[in-house]
Amino acid sequence: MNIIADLQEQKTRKLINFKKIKSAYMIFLHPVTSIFIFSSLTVIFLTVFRITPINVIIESWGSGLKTNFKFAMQFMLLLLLSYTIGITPTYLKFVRTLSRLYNNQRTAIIGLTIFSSFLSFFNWGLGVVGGVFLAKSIAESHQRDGKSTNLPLLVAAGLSGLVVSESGFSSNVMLFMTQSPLNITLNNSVLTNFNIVVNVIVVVSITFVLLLFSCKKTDKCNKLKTVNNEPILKCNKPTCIAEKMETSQIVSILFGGIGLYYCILHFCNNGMLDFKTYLLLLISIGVILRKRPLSFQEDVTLSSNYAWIFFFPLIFSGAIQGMLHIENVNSFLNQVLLTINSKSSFLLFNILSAYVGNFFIPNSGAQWIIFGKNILATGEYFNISTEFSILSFCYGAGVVKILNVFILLPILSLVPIKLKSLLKYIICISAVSTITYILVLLSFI
Amino acid sequence: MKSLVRNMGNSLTVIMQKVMPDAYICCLILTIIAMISVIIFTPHSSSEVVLMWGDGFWKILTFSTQSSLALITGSILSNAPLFKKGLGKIASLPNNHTQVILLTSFSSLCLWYIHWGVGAVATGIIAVEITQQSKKKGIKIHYPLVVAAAYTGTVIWHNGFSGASQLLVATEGHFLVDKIGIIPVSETIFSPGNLLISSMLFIIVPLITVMMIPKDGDTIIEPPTFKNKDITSTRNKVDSNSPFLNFIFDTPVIPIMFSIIPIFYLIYSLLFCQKGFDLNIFIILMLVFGLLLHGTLRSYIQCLQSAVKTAIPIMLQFQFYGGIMGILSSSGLAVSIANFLVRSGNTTTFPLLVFLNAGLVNLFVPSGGGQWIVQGPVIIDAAQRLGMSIPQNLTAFASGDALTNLLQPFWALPLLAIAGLKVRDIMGYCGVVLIFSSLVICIGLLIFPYI
Repeated sequence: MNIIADLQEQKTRKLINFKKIKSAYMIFLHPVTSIFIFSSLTVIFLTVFRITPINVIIESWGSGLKTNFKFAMQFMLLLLLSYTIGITPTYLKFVRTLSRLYNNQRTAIIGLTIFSSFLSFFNWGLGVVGGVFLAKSIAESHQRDGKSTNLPLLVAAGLSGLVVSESGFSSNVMLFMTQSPLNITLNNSVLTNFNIVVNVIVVVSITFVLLLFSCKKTDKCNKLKTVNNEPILKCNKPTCIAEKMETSQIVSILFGGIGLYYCILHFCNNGMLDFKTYLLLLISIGVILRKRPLSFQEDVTLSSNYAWIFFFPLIFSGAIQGMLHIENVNSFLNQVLLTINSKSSFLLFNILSAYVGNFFIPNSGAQWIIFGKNILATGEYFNISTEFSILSFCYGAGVVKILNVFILLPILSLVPIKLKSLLKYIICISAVSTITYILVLLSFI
Repeated sequence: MKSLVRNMGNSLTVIMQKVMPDAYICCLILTIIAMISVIIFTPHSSSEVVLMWGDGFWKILTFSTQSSLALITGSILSNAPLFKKGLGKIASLPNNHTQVILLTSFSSLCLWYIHWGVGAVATGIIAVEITQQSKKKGIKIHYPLVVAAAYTGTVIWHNGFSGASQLLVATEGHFLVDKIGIIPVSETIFSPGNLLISSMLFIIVPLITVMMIPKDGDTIIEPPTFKNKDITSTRNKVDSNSPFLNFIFDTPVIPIMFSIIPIFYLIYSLLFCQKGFDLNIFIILMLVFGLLLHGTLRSYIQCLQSAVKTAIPIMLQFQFYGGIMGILSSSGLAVSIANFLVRSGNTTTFPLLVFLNAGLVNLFVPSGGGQWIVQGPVIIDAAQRLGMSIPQNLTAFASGDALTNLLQPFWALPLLAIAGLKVRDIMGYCGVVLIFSSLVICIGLLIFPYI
């Protein structure tokens, strides 16, 4: 049984090809470069305009850096664990069985969009990685049955969950706020009627747009190279106590079980789902669903192939936050935000600032660390509830996430298509969802 | 004597290869042992223990970030061409296996003595560099022994300049100040007794490690071929289509511009604010040197990916140790163990019991400072009742805490990540060093009052 488990896990790892990612930072400004430039420009700006003495700037840089260590690690673990959950062999095996439900392209698009969005609301790894894998499985199934298939369109449907993920349970900002002094629980942010309804409307809009694409008969149908039977890799049976412990499923079940038991006890003691509990839940599920206990750490290490890009931006965003929250700098920033905004435009500004900011700092958590306090202060001034201020930012972060190559390319490593073939679909998804979010928010103002 | 030590090393290695699983599995097993111990020896139910574990799981998030950053920045620095050149010159000094082991062991002891953060990260870099230089020279080395030599320096960290408990009691307003006042480092780190123990360790540890060198004819494990991280080679260069992006990647302006901020921070903290050298300062130093010695973002970022990958075990496993610490501190088991052992001591045996107690608890709570916070009050109370010297018992605690690092994979994670070995590959040799070091430390503790 352990040999079979080993083979399954090796097969899953073989699916992932991270060579594509290298090309990403040859097209766009690398996130690490961005954060270095942004930090330097902040110091230069504050020094040149003599807003505050240099020693205060330097000290704030250092204290901001240190204070943020805890949050940076939490965000990093969220990235790693979400991807790890998404590539769980047991989960992908289940996803593959779902592919039989979709007999034609239309039902596949509807099914994929709902699957991706629904699961992404709980965890983007489950929704998006699962969605892309499901898209590939559906395409393979259709190809075997001799049906035409538009793989890029299916993959785009599988990726659509990225849009709603930033306003779901695995949102960097929502989880971060559960630990802030404001103690915004997920009940008051993710699970509000407004958030659920607006995301349902967005999902319906995305589905509709993608269905329009599926009517086109002129799209080229990509032929998938079917994966033939791979040579069976010989796995040696464990020969000693150490190897037996490393491959024992009992250790996985025991340990994952302890983690899940803690979560149950936590909720039974009226504990809320916060960032730490959510991460522990991901670890427990990730461990328990893997037959070899070591596989979990190996898969987390594999996930680092995509998540490494974000580590330094997460770390140094704290340093920038430290500088920007020096008293007179903070007041200056608040003043700027108040000047350029009004009550009616503030929520739209939040969406757009998350959108634009993501091209420089492609992680909503890092962006929120830098600007979150100012956004909330401005919202408070305009008597806009904290939850709305957060949600509008998250909607902006979500709609741009599907355009973020540093997030897309590692996920696309699961399928043999190029980003170019997806562009028109993901741009449409982003545009439609942006318009939908803006219209809904405007109607509430 | 030499063959005895060598045979002990070989035997323990064979045993460890069979019984010691991966460091990740070790921390899972330690968690289960800690949970069972608390359930048996304290009046806490299993639900309470699980809650203590979960609540403690995220307690060392900040420390895990610091350790990850220390490893990442140190690893990036080690791949800077200029740094490799300089380190290569030192690493190429040995001409035979014995000299390789002596240099590695002695460097490790020095680095750990200076600072535990430096020791944890830099020893791996040095071990790999010495290995590579030895390979170039055609010196046949037993790689696991070299890596073990790089790790054995951990036995001295708590007697050195960054000794957590000694620095804590020397700090104004520390949590035991009402009971013992401020004890300056001249009476702890720089006391004759502590210096004697440190000196003996500086002699005995390299000596014992050298004795474990396989004799001619014995099987040796050669070092792996490390991937060429020559950043300047055209094979590794990936050009962008955008001249602007190529400029950004290849110009030294951005690394220099960004380095100015941490440089100013270091000057401000160390010279103006006179803050001590701590892990944050170490990280910033590594960051600055890494950026300046790499010179370009292309070079720096290309090393960053593999550096982050090596830090993943730390990011993950440190949280599990946080859970273990949560169990032991919240349940009071650590205090109970301390109470049980120290009550049975007299003026002669008490320091030895403190030493033993610290070593035992350290297997589960590998943070020296954290352990002192939990057990310090018990040890101080008992020492005062017996009319004993606090510095002597503090040295006993520190020595015991550091000693069992030789069996605890937690501190070996950064080294093993860089060296590419598993914990069971080196623990056999570390076990032998532990046996002889403990004898030396016990002698030192018995002589302590008379110096």
